[in-house]
Amino acid sequence: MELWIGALNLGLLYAFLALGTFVTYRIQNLADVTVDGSFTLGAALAAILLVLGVHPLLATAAAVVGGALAGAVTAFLHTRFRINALLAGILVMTALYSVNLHVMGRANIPLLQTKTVFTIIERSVPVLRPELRLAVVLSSVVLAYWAFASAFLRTDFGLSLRGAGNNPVMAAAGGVNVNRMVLFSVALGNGHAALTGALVAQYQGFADVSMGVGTVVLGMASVILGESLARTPNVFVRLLGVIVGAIIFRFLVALALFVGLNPVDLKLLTAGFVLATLVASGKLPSLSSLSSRWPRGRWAAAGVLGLAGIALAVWAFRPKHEARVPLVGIVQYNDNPVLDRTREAFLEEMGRLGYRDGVNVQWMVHNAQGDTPTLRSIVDAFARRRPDLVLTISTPATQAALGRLKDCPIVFATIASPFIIQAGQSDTDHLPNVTGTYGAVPMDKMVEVVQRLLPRARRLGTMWDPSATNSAVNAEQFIAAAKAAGLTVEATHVTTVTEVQQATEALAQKNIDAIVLVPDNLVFSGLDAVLKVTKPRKLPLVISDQERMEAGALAAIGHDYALSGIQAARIAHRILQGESPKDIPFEPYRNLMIRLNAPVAKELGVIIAPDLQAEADRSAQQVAAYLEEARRTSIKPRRVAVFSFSDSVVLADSERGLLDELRDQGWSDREHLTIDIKNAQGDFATANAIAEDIVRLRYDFIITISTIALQTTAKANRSIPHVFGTVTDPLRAGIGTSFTSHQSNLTGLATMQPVRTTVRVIRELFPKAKRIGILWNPSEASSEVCTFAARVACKEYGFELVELHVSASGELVDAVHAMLKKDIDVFFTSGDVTVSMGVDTVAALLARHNIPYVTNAPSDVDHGAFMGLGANYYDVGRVTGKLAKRVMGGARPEAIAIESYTPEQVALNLRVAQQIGVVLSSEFVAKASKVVR
Amino acid sequence: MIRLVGVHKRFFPGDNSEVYALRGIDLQVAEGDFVTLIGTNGSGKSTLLNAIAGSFFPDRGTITVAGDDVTKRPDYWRARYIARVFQNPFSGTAPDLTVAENLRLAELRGKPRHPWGGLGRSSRARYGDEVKRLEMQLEDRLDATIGTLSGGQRQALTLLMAVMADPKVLLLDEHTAALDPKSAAQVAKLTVAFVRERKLTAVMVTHSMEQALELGNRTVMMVLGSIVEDLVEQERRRLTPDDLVEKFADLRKVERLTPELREVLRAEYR
Repeated sequence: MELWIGALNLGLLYAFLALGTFVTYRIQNLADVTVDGSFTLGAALAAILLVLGVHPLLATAAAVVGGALAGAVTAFLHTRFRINALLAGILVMTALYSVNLHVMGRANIPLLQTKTVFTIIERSVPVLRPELRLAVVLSSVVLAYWAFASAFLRTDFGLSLRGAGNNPVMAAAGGVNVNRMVLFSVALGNGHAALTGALVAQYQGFADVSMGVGTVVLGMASVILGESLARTPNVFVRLLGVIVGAIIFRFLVALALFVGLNPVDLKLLTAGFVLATLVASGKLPSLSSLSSRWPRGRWAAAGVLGLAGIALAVWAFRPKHEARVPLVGIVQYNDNPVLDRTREAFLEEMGRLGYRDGVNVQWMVHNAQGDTPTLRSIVDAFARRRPDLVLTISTPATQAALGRLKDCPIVFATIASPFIIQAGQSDTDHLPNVTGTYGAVPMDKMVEVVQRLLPRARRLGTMWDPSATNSAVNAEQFIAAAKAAGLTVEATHVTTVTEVQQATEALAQKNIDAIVLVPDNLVFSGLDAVLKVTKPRKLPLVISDQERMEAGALAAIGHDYALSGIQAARIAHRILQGESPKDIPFEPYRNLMIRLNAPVAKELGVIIAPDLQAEADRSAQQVAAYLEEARRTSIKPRRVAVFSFSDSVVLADSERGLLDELRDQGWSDREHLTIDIKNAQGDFATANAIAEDIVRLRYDFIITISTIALQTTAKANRSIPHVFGTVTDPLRAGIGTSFTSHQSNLTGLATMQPVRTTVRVIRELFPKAKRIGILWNPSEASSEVCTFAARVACKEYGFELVELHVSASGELVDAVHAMLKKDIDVFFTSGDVTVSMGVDTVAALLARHNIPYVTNAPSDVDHGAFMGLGANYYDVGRVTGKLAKRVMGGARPEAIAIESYTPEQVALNLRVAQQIGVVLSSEFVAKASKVVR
Repeated sequence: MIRLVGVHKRFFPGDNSEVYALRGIDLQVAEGDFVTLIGTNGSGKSTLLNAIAGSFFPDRGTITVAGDDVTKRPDYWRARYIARVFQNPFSGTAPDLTVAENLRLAELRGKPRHPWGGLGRSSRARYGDEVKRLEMQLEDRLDATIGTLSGGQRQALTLLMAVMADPKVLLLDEHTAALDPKSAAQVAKLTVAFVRERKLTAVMVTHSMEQALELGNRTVMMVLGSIVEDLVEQERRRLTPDDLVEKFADLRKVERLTPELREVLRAEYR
């Protein structure tokens, strides 16, 4: 509901813009681009005045006046100098960019703690829920304004305004000063745009210098939409149509989000939608309300609404799960303890996930007792009963099911490799109905453990069942690993359990130092027979099934197959909840366990090295912890929204680190977390919509990456725990007054560029340098912060900082040339997106003049910078994830101070260093995390 | 009522598309005169009309309307005295506004346009009566947008709108030329009636020799930006349309000469 009310509210705010656009675009037939700038101007004026403590209504009024003046300038250029209106608009819009920056003094002004018109509404109308209350108030205001505006357009002045736009020649002949009317209209249009800008800034809780981009299209789309609904000369109806158009537009965006459309496609959809409406209504014949009751414009509108309705209906009636109890088949190959343990753990975990046999699930548990034809008939029986899911334990069972059950979801467990039985090509690219959990014992690790235990061992013996695909592969790998380690291997085959003892005896006679058993169902079924031979001969036995070590093996390297069962259960749960196996990647086992048998070692006279023992203990602890947590954690899955503003390198790195941290060691699975990733693709309106959507969907936790994601979410949500990261200065973003005193539902990391360290390193590398040149774009908030820091640091280390501004990457070359004339010793840029867009050019230019180029982005050395000393945003993401874990574990964000965290890393380009004649000490080079040679 | 003294106008001066459109026009139109203005294509008839209306300012010379020197006044200022009807029926009305709204706009000629007041019930009743006179079946369509009307209906309406606020001068630029014969006749009839009733001073550009002699009390003929004939009283009454056509034939010969030769001839024959 919040989503729709939110869309209504935003639509009502944009209604003013739409009304303004109606005046310029419809009444005067001008496509006025100025609104992109005046929208921001309105936001900027309102924000700066609010921060200065001006009354919100007054601040908003001032914004309107500012916008109107901007419009007047455009109109003046157009009418006085006969500059094409579009061009005049572009000129003023461009100029406004600088003006807006000057007005704001920085790129982004937060309004979270400031009194706004909305806090006034909240205070003075203490009924209803907040959003609903706002909707009611805004609707009344807009309706009143609608009546006023319509009446105005019907006065003598309004009539002249419309006449002047509709037929300027006639209007002039009739005594209307057309130019003055154009001036008034464009001022009016931009005043409205500024009003919307001011209101939106207060609504979303911040003003940003780039928030106006695309305003002109939004306005026109609303007008076109509204007109397709109401094609009549009646001004009241037309203006109402325009207001409704603005609201519908927001509703369409909300609908797109609601049905789970990718925000990336939103803009494409908008453009397509506006185009469709234009084409449909643009072909209208000279319309007459008499000639046809349904002119084509209305058909177009009806069509659009119909499509939206169909989309909604499709969503509403999407197939739901039937109430019938799901049937789950379980098949295992034989009674091998490994497979038993997998099954037991699976059933136990399913129980924890809330499945009760006969209540909400029906089990069919079968065991082929090591017989392949039986396996076949079990699978056939499954095929007849059409289960909702089949769990296959062991490779043969999986293989049998793969061939027979093509359209039933299959989850496999305790198999070494799903790839050799062609269940898929990779973890993510696999048969559509198959997924599961797998893992081979790494044979090199096995050989390593054997060597560490038995340093004098030279010959190893092994055996396997050649008819088992898995075993053959394992054995092959084992032999290869042993050879690589300088050992020889005596191998023999077994084809039935009865042969095992004989085969062991045969091996024992071949003067071997130990027997090593690779995973093999058949051999492990006859493990007792093996021990019967090895024990009396004091022949060390190392096995790959840690469950069986107690029987008398010296060591076991393998997985705890309980984990396999647990992981499989969670996958099965997801599938029973409606996920498609196709979308679930294969999961390798997470923990390898090394177990050492001390009594046996003693018996054999084997000394266990302390480090090996430590490693074994660690692995056991990890597995124990995993199992412990699995048993402890609540079964209710929790949902986490990860929200990033754009796909820039920094944000993408950070997001990767965050997700790695959350998924590390299966943490997110263990915690039953569903992680939804949202990305606004660099668009402010989308960011707002996503933030509202997150609140609507009542996520359990929110993690934001980037300042804008933080600001939009902090504004929209004040209850869901929220952790933020990759924000330069959260206090400047307005979410608190200090690191310890901040909005109560959130906490996070502040990551400054390591400017001071960089300047210190420059001092160390260039003791005689005097002047550092810095190039920055004052419209970038983070760039500004970095430059301020650089000023302080330069003073501290005795440099003179030479600053030059750029506002577009096209100016870079000139700016660098200008900088070169200023006799600088080192060139430095920090966190500036504009400069980073042309980093190759800048670096090449500086290298040619032998000026070292230092940046705060390590990746810049790949583009020819001399040194990049910067934050490792992957690490930032990781630490954000750690913080999120604490919050998800129950810590209250309120109690967690915002942490300043900047993991520094140095990258060097030695090629450039040589070219410009800088000699670096080898210690310094050794410290670099990345070196381009 | 209208007085032009030595009015010159060059368009695009210095350009090779330069047009010397008005070459020293001296013209006096007395109050109540109905002048028909004829001339070959490009002779400057419409330019003369536009100069009076204020669509542009002359390079030299003065223009006086109703005793006011309006030489430097823009068109919308002059609209208090001057009303116009254009050749194109689409030019004189606002297509997206209704008939009543257009009439209201016309009525505001020369009056302040306040952001209050507007189209009242009483004025609507009056418009109904006025429109009925046009005999164009417009009386029931006061709320239809102009875009839905025929060319004849629009031109008749434009004429009504031009005279509604009682201007002093009416400028008509071939205002019947683009209409079907029936509508053209009706509009011409209405023109005569309105000019007479409201005692307007009118200047009408026309291509029809019959119309030039039939309507009005004075005929002015233009060639190459100059007035070459000014026919009044007996002289005008004696002429037939054929005489006018003949005069034009003579003038066309003159037009074919080079400008230099033309100047020589002109000096010699003056």
